[in-house]
Amino acid sequence: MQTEEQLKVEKKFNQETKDSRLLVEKYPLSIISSLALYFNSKGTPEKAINLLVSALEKWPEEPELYDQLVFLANKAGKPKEAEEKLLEAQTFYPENPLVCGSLGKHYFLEKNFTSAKNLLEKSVMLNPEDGANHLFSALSSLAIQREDKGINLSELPELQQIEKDLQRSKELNPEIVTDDFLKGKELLTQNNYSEAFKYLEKSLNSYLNKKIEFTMFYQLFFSFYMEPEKFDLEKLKKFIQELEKKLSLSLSSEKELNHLGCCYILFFINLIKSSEEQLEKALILDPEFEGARKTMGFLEKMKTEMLPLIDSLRF
Amino acid sequence: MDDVRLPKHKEKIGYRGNSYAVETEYDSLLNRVSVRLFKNRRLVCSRSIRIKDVQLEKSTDRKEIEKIKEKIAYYHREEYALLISLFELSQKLKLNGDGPAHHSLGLVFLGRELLEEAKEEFLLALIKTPTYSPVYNHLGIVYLKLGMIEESIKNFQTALKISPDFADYHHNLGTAFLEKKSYLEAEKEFQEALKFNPRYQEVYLNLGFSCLERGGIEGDISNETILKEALDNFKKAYQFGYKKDLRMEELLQKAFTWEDLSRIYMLLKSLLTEGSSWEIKSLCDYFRLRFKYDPKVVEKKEVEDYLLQLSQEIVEGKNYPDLRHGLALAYIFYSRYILKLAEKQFQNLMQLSREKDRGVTNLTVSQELGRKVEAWLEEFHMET
Repeated sequence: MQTEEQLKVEKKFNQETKDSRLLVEKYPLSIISSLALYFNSKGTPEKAINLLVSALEKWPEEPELYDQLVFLANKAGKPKEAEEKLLEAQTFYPENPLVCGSLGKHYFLEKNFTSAKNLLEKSVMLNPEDGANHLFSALSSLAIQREDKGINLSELPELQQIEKDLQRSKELNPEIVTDDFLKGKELLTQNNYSEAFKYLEKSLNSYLNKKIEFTMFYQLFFSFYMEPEKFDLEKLKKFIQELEKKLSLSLSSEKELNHLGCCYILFFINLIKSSEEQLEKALILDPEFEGARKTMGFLEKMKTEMLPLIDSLRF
Repeated sequence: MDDVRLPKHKEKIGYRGNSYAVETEYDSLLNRVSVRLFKNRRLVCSRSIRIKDVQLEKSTDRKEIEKIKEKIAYYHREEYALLISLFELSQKLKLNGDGPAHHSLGLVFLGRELLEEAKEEFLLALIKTPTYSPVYNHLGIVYLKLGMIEESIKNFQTALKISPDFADYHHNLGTAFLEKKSYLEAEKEFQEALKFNPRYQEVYLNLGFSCLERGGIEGDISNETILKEALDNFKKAYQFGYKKDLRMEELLQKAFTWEDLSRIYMLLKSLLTEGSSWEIKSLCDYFRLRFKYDPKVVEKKEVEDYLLQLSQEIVEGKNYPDLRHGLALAYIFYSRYILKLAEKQFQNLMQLSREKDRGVTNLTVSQELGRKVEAWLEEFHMET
């Protein structure tokens, strides 16, 4: 028989699962992803995990959700939830590089380096363009090798592969490169594997933290969907200007390129909204204003066709 | 400011046997840029733009002065480009313009006091849509400005025959009668206008003026009934106007004589003219035409400036439904440029193979949105 405390926990869990399902029904994929980051930023990562688990029931073929689940579950100390979903996905999509990659990352974070290495190598083979996979793969190999004390790695092909992986991750994902990353690489060339691992792991952690950060970009979309009355158009304009500036200086990453495009779409929606507000005001001033009525009619029709399209944006 | 040289810009254009010139210069006394339009060497219209937050004569900062020089050059280019595009539009409309389009272009010309050009467009509009009452009304205004009062009255009356419930038409007919010194007929029309719009400040102003003129002609300028009637109307004109002025309020309290009231009339008229929406409304018409007939030529910066100007006018008190409607249309038109920018980003993203899928999805979204906006605008312009 369950104790009162256990019943309370179960009730809370059931409620949260129900809430998560409602959210998943109501909002598009990208917003669910932002919402998970929001919950995490508010100190409730378990809500984020519940939400992602529900999201994966609706969108099991969205591998990017798996990565997010792995990182958040790791932060929340609830890796089992992530593993369960990933194993389930693996049975359905055994050759999906992103599912393999997420499971590999999960095993790495759980310090199961051998499984991690196998899966990450498979993922890299299937999709060699993912810089983060190369870094995880290099670190898994390094973790295994440094455990074999007394062996000089410098002559072994493993080390060459690790160096190659690090180089690829740097090329493909420049935001991974930090001072720790460079220091780790340097220590590797000096055959100081344990120290190299420490520094490279630090750079990996900062990359993971960045991945689950509730940045201004997510805040803007979150506010637009969840708290439209608080949406700050000036903030959006400022953020667009910052991204444009970065882009003009060639400092932007692929992610920022996508974010800038999405922000333009958000700005577009707000222009349509502003247009609607002006028409409403015109019609308050003159309810018989035929031109404004006609425009409003067109705008409503346009909005009906437009909103489902916007929901399919991918962050 | 001794060593600062601010250029006076001047540009000419010849069109169908007439010569037009735009002159732009800085007025240091008013800290404003003055843009003047000449036709056949006669000044037809002038616009004064305040330079915000800068006292140029006190400025020693060279960079700031350079910035202002650029602004002056910008206002000049803007006016000149507008003039050219008006003539281009006029040519285009002759080929495929409908009645309302000619009417709108006529309004833009009228806003620039290019009366002959406006008249021509209105007459073309009447050929294509002979029962469109606003055209008769505006043609009436053109004739009134040209001093052709009988023609003007005829047109206002035709407009009223088609749409008898329009306060503006009654007011304009009243003004034409006022010009003809037919005060009683004028006042009758003003009263009609007030039935449809009881807060019409210009009507009250003209009613008051008509009373004063009537008093003058009847040689009884001390007639208390007439003076009280004029004062009451001026009070209402002030009450319904959005510009407030303490000096005016004092004057309205202390006015007793015909001279007091004449002074009030002049001041009130200038207060109302200051707040006139004619220029901005004609700019709305101009952009509406360009959105319809020139959509590919209109530049993003032009629409941004237009949006800024419209928003400022509304913030400064011109809370009119047609300005709000103009702003709504401009937002929609402007959204096309933003979608193009989004499209460009997603195209770039697609080239980076790692993000190809995301790029393809988002590019499809932006392109589909773009297509919908274009189709919507086309359909909208067909129907309006």
